[in-house]
Amino acid sequence: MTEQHDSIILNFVVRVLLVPFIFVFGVYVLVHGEASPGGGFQAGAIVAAGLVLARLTTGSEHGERRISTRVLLWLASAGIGIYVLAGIVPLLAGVNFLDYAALPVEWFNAVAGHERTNRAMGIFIVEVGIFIGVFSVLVILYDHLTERFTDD
Amino acid sequence: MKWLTAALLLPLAALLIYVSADLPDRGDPDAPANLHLSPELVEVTERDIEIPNIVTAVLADVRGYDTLGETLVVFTAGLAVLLVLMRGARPRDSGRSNER
Amino acid sequence: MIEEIAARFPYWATAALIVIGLYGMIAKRSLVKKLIGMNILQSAIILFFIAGSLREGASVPILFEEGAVARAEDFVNPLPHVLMLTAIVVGVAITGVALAFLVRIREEFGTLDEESLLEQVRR
Repeated sequence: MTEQHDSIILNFVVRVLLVPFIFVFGVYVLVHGEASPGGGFQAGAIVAAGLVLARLTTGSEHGERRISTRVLLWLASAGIGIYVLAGIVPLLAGVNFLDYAALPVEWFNAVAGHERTNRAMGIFIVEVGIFIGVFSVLVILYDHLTERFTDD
Repeated sequence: MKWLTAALLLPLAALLIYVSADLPDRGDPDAPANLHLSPELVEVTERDIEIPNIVTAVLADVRGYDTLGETLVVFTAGLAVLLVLMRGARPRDSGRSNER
Repeated sequence: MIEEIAARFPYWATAALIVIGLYGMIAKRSLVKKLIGMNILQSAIILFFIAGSLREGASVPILFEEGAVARAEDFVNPLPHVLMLTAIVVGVAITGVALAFLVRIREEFGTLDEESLLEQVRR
């Protein structure tokens, strides 16, 4: 599992053909989470699966990991932070915790050129937070559950 | 152990199948669980949130507090795995004197 | 007879999965197999809730048509789907932490077999 596979076919198929497609599909599932089946949890699982696939084929001894555990931990905290922020900003505006109707996101309607309610915008912000958190935690789980068997 | 467990679990299976006779049919439109909350959730999604996916609307808005706790659970699981498996915290030679 | 089977089938599958999962958790000696049994038990619960959300003639809980008045009878109950999404994610977290503990146990005792673990702990 941990030594590098030198097959050029495996490397090309996984790293050039498969993993970018999986990442794009994960982002699609995230941004279409409010119009079709999908959402933050599913997109996080898909993108984490893509990264795990890349790590399975290249092996962890193959150079430094591009995304280290320290960065992933910061990312996970940032995901939770986005969620909590989406809850605290309405609190400061004087309404309930997580009441997205009070989020100051009306300017985005002018930028995007179509009307969406504040609550839909709040849902999207929260889904992005969930996505970042779940993705980083799943990759952390994979990294630390597999790296222990390198020196046995 | 195997036969004892099987002998304990087979009556449980029989009990569960017997009890299932009192549950509503599969796909029953008038099942009690489907009558109360579901119309309100559909109505809230269509009137106030205005996104098509009812599941996402309920997950992130109506039950947003619950989902915040769930994300915290996932984060805590990541932290717990890190704490249990941190490299420096491993006692190298203690405890594995028996077989290995 | 066929209708009776079709109406009860999800409950029977749930019962079978519960019993299989409990058997794995109790009778198997390997801790990894106990963990797999726990996951099977969890999928039994998920199957039960999703089967309970079904409605004859209903569609997925997504409002497709613009402007049309949504009637609750047209959609399956969305609440069990939300709850089971939560349950799946929490199940992944539980499995991860359990696997971390198993890795540590394997390092500490050199085995994942229940009997020899108990023997080593008693000594």
